[in-house]
Amino acid sequence: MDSTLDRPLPVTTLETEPFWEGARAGRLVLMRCAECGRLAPPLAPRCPACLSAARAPQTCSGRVSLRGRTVLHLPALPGHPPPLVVVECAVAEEPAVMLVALDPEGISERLPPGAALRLGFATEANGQAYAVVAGAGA
Amino acid sequence: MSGGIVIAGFGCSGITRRSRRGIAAFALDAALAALQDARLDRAEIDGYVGAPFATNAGSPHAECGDEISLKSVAGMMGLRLAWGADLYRRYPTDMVAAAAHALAAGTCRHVLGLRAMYVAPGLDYATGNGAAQAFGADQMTKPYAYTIAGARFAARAWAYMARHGAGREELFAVVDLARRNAARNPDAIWRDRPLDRESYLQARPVAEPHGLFDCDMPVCGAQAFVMCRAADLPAGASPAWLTGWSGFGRPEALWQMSGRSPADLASAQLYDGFSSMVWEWLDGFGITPPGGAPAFIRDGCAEPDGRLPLNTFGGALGEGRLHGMGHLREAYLQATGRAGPRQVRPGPALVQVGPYDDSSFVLLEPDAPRGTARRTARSTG
Ligand SMILES: [Zn+2]
Repeated sequence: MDSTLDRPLPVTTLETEPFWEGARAGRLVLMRCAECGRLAPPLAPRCPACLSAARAPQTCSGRVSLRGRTVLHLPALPGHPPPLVVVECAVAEEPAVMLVALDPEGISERLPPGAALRLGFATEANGQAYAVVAGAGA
Repeated sequence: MSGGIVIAGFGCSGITRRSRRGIAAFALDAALAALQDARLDRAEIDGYVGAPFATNAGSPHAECGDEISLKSVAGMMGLRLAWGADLYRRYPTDMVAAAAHALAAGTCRHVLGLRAMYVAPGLDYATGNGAAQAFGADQMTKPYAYTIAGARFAARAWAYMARHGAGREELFAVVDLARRNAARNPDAIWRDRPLDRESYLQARPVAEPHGLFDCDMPVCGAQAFVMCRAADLPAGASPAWLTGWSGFGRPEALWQMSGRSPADLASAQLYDGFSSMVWEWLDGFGITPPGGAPAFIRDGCAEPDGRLPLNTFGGALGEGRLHGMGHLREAYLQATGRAGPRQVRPGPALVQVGPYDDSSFVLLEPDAPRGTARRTARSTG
C-alpha cells in the first residue's frame, strides 16, 4: 500500500487500550467478565450481561462469522484507494461482539452471510495495527 | 392515552442542492409556512422541538452553518418559549413524541417542530476532510471507512439480499417507485427527473450493493410543523390526530397505544436514506413475511393504488435528504386528505424514521383516537 497520509488513529482510553495493544501484537484481545464469563465489546466499561466491572483481558481465537460486507467505491481511506472491501463480523466466542475490518485480499468475496472467517491485524505505515480478514474457514 | 393531540399544520421551504442562502433562511421559511398552514400567530408558539444534528460524516457541525438549534430559531423568530428541546441524533418521529409529552403535561399549548438540512460548501459531504484521529466509538469504525457513504447500511443490505435472494432489480423497484411518486410532489428535488432501469443499473457504484441512485440526495431545505391539543386547534387549521408513537425497542407499543394493527394502515412512509432501508420494517411489522418486502414492492403492492401505498411523496430518494421530515409531512397530508394528486385512501398513516435498529414510529389518523374521540371532538367544535 502506498501511503503518504494516515488512516484515522484511534484515541484510546483505558477501556480500549487492551484491544489496540493486542492488535499491535497481532492478537484479538477482548475483556472477559470475572463474574459471569461473558466477553465485552472493546468500548464497554462493564460486562454488558451482568454490569460487573471486574474483568481481565483475554486473547480470542480470531475466528469470526461474516455479518455484512460492502465494496466501497469512494476515496475514503488514506493509503487505501478504492475499491475497498469492508466487512463486519461477529466474534466466534461472543457473537454479540461485532468488529469491522478491511478485507484487502477479497477473501470474503462470494461467501454467504454467516461464513467463517479468521481475523488478523495488519500494521500500517503509521505504526498502527488494524483488523483485516486473514483467512476463510474455521 | 394520547389525549387528543394533533399536528395542526406543516410547512416546507424550497428544496435545493446548493444555495447561497444560509440554513437559517430555509429554517425560517419552513417555520413561517407551518405557522401559516396552522393559522397561528408566532406569539402563540410557546413550545419548540428540534433535532438539528447533521449526520453526514463530512459535517462541520456549525451552528447556523449546517445545523440550526432552538437557540438560533427562537432568537431569530422572537419566540417566547415555556418549553423547548433539541433532540441529539434523533428523528422527526421522536420530535413528535417529545412534543406530545410536553402538550399532554400541559407545559405548553403550541409546539413548533423544525428540522433543517444543509450542504456546507467547500467540504466533501460524505467524507469530510479526513480527520487524523478517531475518538470514542469512531475508533472502531472510522479507520475502516465504515461510517462513509452508508457503508454500514450497505453491509447490512448485502446480508439481507444474500439471505433472501434479492438483487439490484429489487433495489431499482424501490428507487423507481420513489421517482414516480416524486413526480407528483412539487417540492421534490427529483420531480422532473424520471429514471429508467438502464440508467439506474449503469450508475456508478457507491457502497455495494448501493449505487448512486440508491442514496438520497443531500439538499438545503427545511420542514416544520405545529402541534397542539385538539382543544387548542386554531380555527381553520386541518388536524391530523396522533394516535400512537413508540421506539424501535418496543414497536408493538405503537399498535397497543393506537388500538390499530398493520392491517389497518392506509399508507406507510418508511425511511429511505438508502433504498434498501424500506425493506426491513415492512418485514419487521409483519406487513410482509420475513424477506418478502423486495417482492412486495417489485410486484406493485406498494404503488399508490396497491395494497399499501409506500412513500407516496417520493421518499427521501425522490424528495431529497430531509432526514425523515418529508415522511412525517406526507403522513400529515395523507391523514388530512390534503395530499392532492398523491392522495390515497384517508386512514391511519404510518411514519417510520431512522435506520432499522434505531427507528421510531408515529401513527397519524384523520379522526380522533377511540375513547377520547367524542369529548375532544366536541371541545374543538
Ligand atoms: Zn458479567
